[in-house]
Amino acid sequence: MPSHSEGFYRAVSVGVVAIALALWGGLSAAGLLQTNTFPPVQAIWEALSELLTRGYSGSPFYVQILASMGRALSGFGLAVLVGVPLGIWLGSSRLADAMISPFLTFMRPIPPIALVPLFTFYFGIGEGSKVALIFMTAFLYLTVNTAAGVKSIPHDLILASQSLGLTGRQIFSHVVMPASLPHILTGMRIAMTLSWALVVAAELIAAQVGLGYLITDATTFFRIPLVFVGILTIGLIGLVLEGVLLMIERRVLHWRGKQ
Amino acid sequence: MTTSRIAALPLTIANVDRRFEGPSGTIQALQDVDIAIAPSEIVSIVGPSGCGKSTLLRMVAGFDQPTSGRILLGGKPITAPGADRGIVFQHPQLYPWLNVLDNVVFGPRMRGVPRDVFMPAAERYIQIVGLQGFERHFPYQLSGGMRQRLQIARVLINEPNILLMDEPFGALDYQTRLEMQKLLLDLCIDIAPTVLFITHDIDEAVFISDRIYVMSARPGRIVEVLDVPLPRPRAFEEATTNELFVKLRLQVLKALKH
Repeated sequence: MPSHSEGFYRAVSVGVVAIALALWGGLSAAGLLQTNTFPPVQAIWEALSELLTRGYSGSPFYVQILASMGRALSGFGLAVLVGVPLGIWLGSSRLADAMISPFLTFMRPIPPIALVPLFTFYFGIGEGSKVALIFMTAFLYLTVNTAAGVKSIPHDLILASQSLGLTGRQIFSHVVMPASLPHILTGMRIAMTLSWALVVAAELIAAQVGLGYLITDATTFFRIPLVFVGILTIGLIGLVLEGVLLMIERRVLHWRGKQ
Repeated sequence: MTTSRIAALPLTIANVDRRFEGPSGTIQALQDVDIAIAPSEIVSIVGPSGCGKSTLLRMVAGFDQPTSGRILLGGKPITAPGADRGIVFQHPQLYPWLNVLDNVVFGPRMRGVPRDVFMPAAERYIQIVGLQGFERHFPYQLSGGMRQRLQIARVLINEPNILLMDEPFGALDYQTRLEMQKLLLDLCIDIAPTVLFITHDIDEAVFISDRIYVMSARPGRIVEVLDVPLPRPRAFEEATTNELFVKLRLQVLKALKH
């Protein structure tokens, strides 16, 4: 297979995106796009400027964005607080793993959407049910990934540490923790992306504000350009979140995958 | 270079048996193993794969206990892993998130040794293994041979009473293996630790050892003990063409086929 430089493949990615945008722009300019099916560029601009100046159903655009981010980050934050310690425990104790993993394995394939009605019943139509839904998804992912990280530590590395004279507690904090950090951070990045993606599903539960609410509500009024603005905003914010976390990961874990 | 010898202690392995309970019954890994190593002696154990030689080394390290028999270091029974025995694994068990210097000082730092004690020691041992100039490199930036040098320095800084080496050069290419054998012999002259060396490379065993124990396939038993009275210091080209070397190497080979 002919190999090209990293820069070549990056240029291909940028090029393809540019072509797609140009195609969209061209079709818009030629007047071939329908505002209420696949809107042209100018309709999106109009919807965006309307959102920025007048907001949507009583709330400014930035409030919609912050509401969604607040829910995603709350659910994600709780998931980190619970999932990482639990994952470490499951990864280091066979007994704990045997007791708790069956439940996690069972929960994992259940689509979060299937839990929406039940969570509404349990936690009401307020913030609780939305945060709980995001928490559930991020938590399952983080716990399993963290446990896998702890289990992947070579047994000989623990033995080597014992024979260097480390106590059990030192091995935990100075060997097990840093050695499983790659799995934990990757788990956090993917859980963050999942949490953000779940906002729309969570905001199907009788939300009055948020990007997911904006999208569903605008759809019922056939305001398709607004729906597109909502989707594009979710996508762009997701991209930024992923990018920032990936950057942190690469800085902290410069040694990863090079052993 | 200042020569500072470390407190080498004798190792006694007496009547050691090790049995494992497996799903298909009891597996006798080691049977009636007797080995005695004097302070600063270099002793090799040679045997086929699965003969239990690594099991034996792990028991000396304190990772495992004999089913019966005794293992004594300086007359004291071994009950747990500890920094008094330095173990060198075949695949260097380094901390990939720490650079060379931090890997070397990790043991003393964790055990609460003062910084002004372990820093000069680190400098010395890094120089002994030939890694000076690479203090700020990370393990992934080192070659296989350099990683093994790092693992040896990290163990030596603890000034262990015995070095336990589990096929330490087995994964290295031929040229690097010869360099590492030379390094080991050099530091044995400078620091004079007691060494228990596991290998399946007969040339390596004869070249570095004062004495060789040959083990049989499972159950692992000592089938031959050979003294290696080759003069030291040894150089590979001279030693391997020596008549005595050739004779000893054949004796080990014969014992292995036993």
